[in-house]
Amino acid sequence: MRNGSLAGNIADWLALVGRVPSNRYQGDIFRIAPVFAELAGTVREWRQALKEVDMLESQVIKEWTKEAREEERVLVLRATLLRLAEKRFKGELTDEDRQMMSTQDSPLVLSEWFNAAVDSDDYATFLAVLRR
Amino acid sequence: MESSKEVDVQESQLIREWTAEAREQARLETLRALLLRQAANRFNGALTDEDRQMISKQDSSSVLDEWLDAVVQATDYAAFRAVLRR
Repeated sequence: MRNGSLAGNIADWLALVGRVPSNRYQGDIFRIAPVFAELAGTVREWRQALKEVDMLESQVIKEWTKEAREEERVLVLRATLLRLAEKRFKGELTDEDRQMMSTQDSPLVLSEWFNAAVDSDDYATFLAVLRR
Repeated sequence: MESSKEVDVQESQLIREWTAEAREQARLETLRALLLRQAANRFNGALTDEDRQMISKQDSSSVLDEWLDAVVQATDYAAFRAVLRR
């Protein structure tokens, strides 16, 4: 790849990687390419070119960053739930409650707990949902 | 190209940037979805298309956090709307 047509090359490359049937291999290919860009000293050009390609909308990149996005989603749900529950049930949350919220991995369960934190009239009602 | 340079895929600068962007996008999407759902639950049919548009386009996670607090703490839709338009 040369700088003049890098954006076009990257767009073609993303399309080609998207045709690789296995998501795992797509991920492997995708992880290797930027390393070569860095070794070749073309990071700045890649960064600029990928802005033009709108890389976050690429299915390949969406798949490749899926794990990071899911992890972030859980972190945001936990932090928001904890913040809200602390505000709503001032002084009533126990360390065990906090531990449960901080270690829950399911976005679905965290969303249910969030709804309960908003809708519950008191701490006992919220706790009942948390311990269900 | 430095042939002796150690290649650490996990430490790739571009990969770190892309992952950080994907995380930021996920953070905003999660907060917007939470806020839209909670606001719809709390204020039933009061939420306007303009409100939904404002929430869907907000790209500051700290502002979205403030609006989420407002959904929970506002006494009524007018109070929530005042925070949204501040």
